[in-house]
Amino acid sequence: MEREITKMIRVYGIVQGVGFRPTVSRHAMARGIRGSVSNKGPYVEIFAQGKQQDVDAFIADIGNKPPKRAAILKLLEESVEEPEKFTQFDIIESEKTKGEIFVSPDIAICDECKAEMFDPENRRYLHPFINCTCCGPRLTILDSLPYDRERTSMKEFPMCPSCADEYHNPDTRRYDAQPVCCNDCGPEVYLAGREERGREAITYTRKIIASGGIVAIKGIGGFHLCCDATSEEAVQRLRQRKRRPVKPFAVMAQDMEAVKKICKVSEEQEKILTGHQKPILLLDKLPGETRLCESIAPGNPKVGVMLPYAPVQLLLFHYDDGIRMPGLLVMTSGNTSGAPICRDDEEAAEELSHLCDCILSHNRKIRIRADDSVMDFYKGEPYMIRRSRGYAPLPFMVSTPWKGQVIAAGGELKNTFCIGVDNRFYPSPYVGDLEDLRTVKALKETIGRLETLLEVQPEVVVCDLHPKYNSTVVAEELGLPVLRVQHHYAHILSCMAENDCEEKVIGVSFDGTGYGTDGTIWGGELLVADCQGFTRFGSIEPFVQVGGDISAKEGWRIAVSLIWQNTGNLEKTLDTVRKLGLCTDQEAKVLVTMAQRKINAVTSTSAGRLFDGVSAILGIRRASTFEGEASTALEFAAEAWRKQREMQKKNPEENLKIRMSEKEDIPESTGISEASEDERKFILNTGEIVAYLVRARLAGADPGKLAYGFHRALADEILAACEEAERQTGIRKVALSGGVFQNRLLLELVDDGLTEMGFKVLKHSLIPPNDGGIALGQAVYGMAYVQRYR
Amino acid sequence: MENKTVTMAHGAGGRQTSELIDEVFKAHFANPDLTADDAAVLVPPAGKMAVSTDGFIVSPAFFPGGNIGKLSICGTVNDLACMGAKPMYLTCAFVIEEGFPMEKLEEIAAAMEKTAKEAGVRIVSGDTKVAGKGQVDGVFITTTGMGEIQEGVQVGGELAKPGDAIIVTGDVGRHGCTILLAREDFGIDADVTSDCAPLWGAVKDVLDATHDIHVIRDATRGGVGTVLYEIAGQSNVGIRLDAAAVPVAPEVKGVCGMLGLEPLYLACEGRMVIMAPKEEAGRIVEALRKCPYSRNAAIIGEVTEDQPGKVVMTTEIGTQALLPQPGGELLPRIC
Ligand SMILES: [Fe+3]
Ligand SMILES: [Mg+2]
Ligand SMILES: [Zn+2]
Ligand SMILES: [Zn+2]
Repeated sequence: MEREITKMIRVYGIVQGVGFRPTVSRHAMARGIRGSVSNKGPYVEIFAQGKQQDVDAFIADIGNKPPKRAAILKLLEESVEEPEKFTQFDIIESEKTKGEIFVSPDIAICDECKAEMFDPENRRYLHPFINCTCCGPRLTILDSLPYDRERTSMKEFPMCPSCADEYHNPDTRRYDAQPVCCNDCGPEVYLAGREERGREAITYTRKIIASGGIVAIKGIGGFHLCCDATSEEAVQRLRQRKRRPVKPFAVMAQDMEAVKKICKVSEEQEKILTGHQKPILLLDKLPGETRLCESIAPGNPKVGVMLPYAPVQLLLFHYDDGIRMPGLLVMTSGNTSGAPICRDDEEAAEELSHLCDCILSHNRKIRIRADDSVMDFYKGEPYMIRRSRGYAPLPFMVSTPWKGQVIAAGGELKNTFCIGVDNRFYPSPYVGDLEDLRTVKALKETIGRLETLLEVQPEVVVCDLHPKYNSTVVAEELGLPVLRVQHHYAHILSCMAENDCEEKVIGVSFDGTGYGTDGTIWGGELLVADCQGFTRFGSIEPFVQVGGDISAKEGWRIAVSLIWQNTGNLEKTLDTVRKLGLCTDQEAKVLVTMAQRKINAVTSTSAGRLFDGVSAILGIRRASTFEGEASTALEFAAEAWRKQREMQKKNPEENLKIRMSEKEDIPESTGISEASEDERKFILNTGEIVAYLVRARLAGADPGKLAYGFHRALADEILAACEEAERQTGIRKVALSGGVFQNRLLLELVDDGLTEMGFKVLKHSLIPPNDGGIALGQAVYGMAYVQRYR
Repeated sequence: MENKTVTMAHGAGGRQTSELIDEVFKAHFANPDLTADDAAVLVPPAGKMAVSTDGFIVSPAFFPGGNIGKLSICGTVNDLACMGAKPMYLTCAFVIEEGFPMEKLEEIAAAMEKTAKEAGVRIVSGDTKVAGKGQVDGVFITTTGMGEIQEGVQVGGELAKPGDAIIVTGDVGRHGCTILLAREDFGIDADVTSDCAPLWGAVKDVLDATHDIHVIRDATRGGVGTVLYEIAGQSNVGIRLDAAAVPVAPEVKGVCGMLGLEPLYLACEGRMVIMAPKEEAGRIVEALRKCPYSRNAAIIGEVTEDQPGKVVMTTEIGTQALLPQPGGELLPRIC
């Protein structure tokens, strides 16, 4: 008999909750390997005994044919010198080992399960909780690792004999699938506060939706509010009840075909839409499309669309009760404004019952909330806006061999936090806006859960510099040494980390508001930064931000302040404000007085506010009812104008005319200037851009053209500043971050310009450029700090 | 009086000083306990006595709804009333800027006379100094009050209990708003007057209705918001506020909206915050609403066990936000 060898193999990565052990077991049986496989928490450990070539082939199989949802990051093998004698291949129950942990995010229903669910012959016909080793809930039902049924919220549902058979049989798709269940043994849907359960509950819910009502539905990571997206009346009712006049709603389409009827979808976008993570994708509406009612995303050329990812969502579209359902449903997070998404019946009863006509709930508990992820696209690549369900808490790895454990509390709005372990950084699911204390509570809870899951004990906590952020308060309560990181620097660090960059960069950090090291409000910043620290190389021209948070909602206030700054004269300001129709004389006078006497007024370089102010000056939006409304409207106006121009350009006669008029109407960037002797900082001459826009607007220029011109000129000034920074520092890498870079026109203009100038441009992709991303940057800073002072 | 303005001689202690005292102050403050000697000789109260002193500087000294004279009486008698003390005696010290119009001084004294009478307090001793031009701004007044604490009353900032109702005796922020408008030339012509008023009458009626009261605090500098944070800290309790229930005059709301200010942080000079067991709240509000200066009294929230030291506000759109901590700059947070 040929000599046998024994090897021990360790596989790191996403290897739990993805059917890794059964797959390994199948490969072993196919190659006649004896031994065992077990979950060690951080990794899967395999013993393989057999002939040399079989063992090698088996190891190759693991690497080449892993389970669909697995991600192998590292595979170590070593020979075992005095092995025990194996008689068969076993899957060994889990035990716990500390180390490099990867928790799988939740996975959207797979095609096989979907087919089974709609197969009347299948025993899981129409089962709302169908799942397999490739799909189903993961993070949201997990108590602790390793991932086994007894440590999930499925432990309350003992398997029936048929399910148990599948669970134990390596030949089935449900071998070792922890949440496996069926109509006989699984959780159940029901209407909260009513009698109906199971079928009746689903039919009742469908009836309400079909007749224009509003329902709340418990899914994977929380509740949604749902209604017919093709019924203007239903959507209006939802808007009224939710007190949300214009902020866009996300839409769930029954299938890809339904999406393509209303939106333009590229191949890459289709891959994401139908993939196993199923985020909300921001897609361009098809011109002239009317299926979707206007009030879903009023005045917005885009709409957020996703496909069903929980079995129960598919059942809303298709069921055997004969009810005709719309192919497009509104699916907006189920919460009252400010509060986190509801995750149990109690919260739903309190916060949602007055908003909806019925609540379709179920009795599988949600351990951690997971909002839907939201993604845009930029040049064929994903451009994340909100990273949560399906993505969190997948880690980001950097190449630097850091050692240590840190936690970062994140920002104030769109909060996520981040846990760093050595060179791996685990951004949390979306937590929300911490202005609401219910969300602050959710942050504390989620921090506790994720620390348990990842088995970490951070040495330091990192937070923002802003003294009034609630995230800062939460950080201080953790009882760890606290590090404070400037907001815009954290943005740049997050972009660097996402691009695995450690060397010094020029950071263009443009957003709404962050607390500066000098106690003023920063927002349009040029930094020179690495993981150790930064200098403020330049900023947009400072102006006076009057009225505190209200100025973030009412861009006309910023507009008045900008105009006053340029004229330096009350009468001239009043005259301009009057002609632009921004506000009454009295309002303008109050603002100027406040600015002059520094009453509720701070010095600010907020780029977000600059956009709001320009939006008001151009008559596009005077104020915002939701965050970013005025600035996105400005972007849309610019994009629309550009598109129109490109259409016209195809006509050569028109082309010449346009080029002539363009010269007149687009402000020339006047570049940058030195701030002052003592402040070694450069100023982007944004004040002059504003002065130009005011003059041109008063002369009757097209607001769309001016909106485009503003983007163009601002981009040019950023390019000029980067050029100067390069001249002084020799750095040829630029990182673009901050919420303003959700503006794809500005992103494109800056990105293309810098690339043309020969810069290497670092951009975000899977980490949001907005404040949802800063926790990663904070964590990186903390980790670098820990290295320095260990 | 021959001089139309106050001169340095008026403070020198000679003839002109006597003239000023006789013709302006004595004429208005006359009562059997007012002394011409170095100190007043008084009959002390039978029970415990409360004593309080306050200095008053306000620019401008004359504002819609009152002047510094009225303010100097209200401030001190209200401090006494907050301890459940009936105001009895008051002393006052003036520092007057050289060149201050005599007519205005007269007006201030008249306001003090009227307010003291209304508050039932006797001015028993005083002092006058004149400071050189520019050394003070117009006139500064310091008053000290003495009052008799009503039997069986025990109130204090450390006595708030979870479950207490929080009552405010009227609409908030009017004094601060009035002064801001008078001082800064905004060009807003809003019809706002100061809430400056003596509150012993209202407190007495409340005490007549019930003695089961934990906290009485007048919300002066820093406004109701500051008082709430102080009490939350002193009593180590949480405070839950219902923003929609806080009475704010429409004009004040308008001005605050314009300036981006929080009315809860604007000064009041005639508003008390009362905390008492829920069961007593109805009775207290009823008593308050019968008094002239507290017709808009309202229950605005409750004392809670959770979030000790913090003031949580349920906003009008239903979010639960921390009322910003008092003090410090109002920094924008929205990104
Ligand atoms: Fe930011
Ligand atoms: Mg006092
Ligand atoms: Zn499946
Ligand atoms: Zn079963």
